[in-house]
Amino acid sequence: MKTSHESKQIERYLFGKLNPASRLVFEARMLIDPMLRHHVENQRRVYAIVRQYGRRVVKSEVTRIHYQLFNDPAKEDFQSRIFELFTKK
Amino acid sequence: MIEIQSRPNIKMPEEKAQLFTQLYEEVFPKVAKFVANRGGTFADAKDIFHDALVVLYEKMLEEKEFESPENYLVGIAKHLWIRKFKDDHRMLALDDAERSISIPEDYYEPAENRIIAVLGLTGKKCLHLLRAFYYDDLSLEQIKTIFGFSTTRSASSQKFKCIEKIRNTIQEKSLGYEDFA
Repeated sequence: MKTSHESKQIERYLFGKLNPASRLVFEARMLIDPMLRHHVENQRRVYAIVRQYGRRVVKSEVTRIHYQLFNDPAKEDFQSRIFELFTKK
Repeated sequence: MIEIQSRPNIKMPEEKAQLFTQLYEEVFPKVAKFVANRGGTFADAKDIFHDALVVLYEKMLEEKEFESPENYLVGIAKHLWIRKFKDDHRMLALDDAERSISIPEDYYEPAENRIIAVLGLTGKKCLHLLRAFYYDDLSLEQIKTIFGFSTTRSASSQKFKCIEKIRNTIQEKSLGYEDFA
């Protein structure tokens, strides 16, 4: 089987897009084919990794905004409002 | 309250940055106050708020109708606080809307630092492509334009090649670990 066909099929399986009959066939194939099982497990991890990476990128964008706001002299009111909260009374 | 005339399209980087900046100015003081009142530090408030924005972003991609990002953000931050500091949620006044908020199940999965670091060196293009499609939820049409593919079909085919490439990297790495076990 051509690999890209296989990875598409695995994606449909993991995302719950296979109809019940194809799903059964796919699960039967996984039972007898350890290589396919490996691929399914690793592909599941690929999506998890992509999600973690996506979250990191969003966080780095947010961190940039944080430093902009806390270094902008025009935002002094905002900054002191926050810092006052963390000053021990 | 922030007046959002039309719902910002957070798939557009500029609109996303603008919304995040607006929310930062409007909502971070509320979250910081909450954290300070419970004995947390400035760094705690910052971490929690950044995570809350990530969760909000994912929620906004999922749901077409999204009324009040401000309240939602405060609610997520409270949940993150409870989770992070094992604070007693019964001591926190959560309203009904806040009670219904949940953090994505996979949010606390162990970080795949090692693989991401490897891919950062050898597979950055694939990471970017897959992130655009699966995380930022861009269409193949948008991806075609951004990444300069000639057709959506070639964008899609590259996407699956990238999945296989990363899958193989994982495979190699995990074989490596077993060797040391």
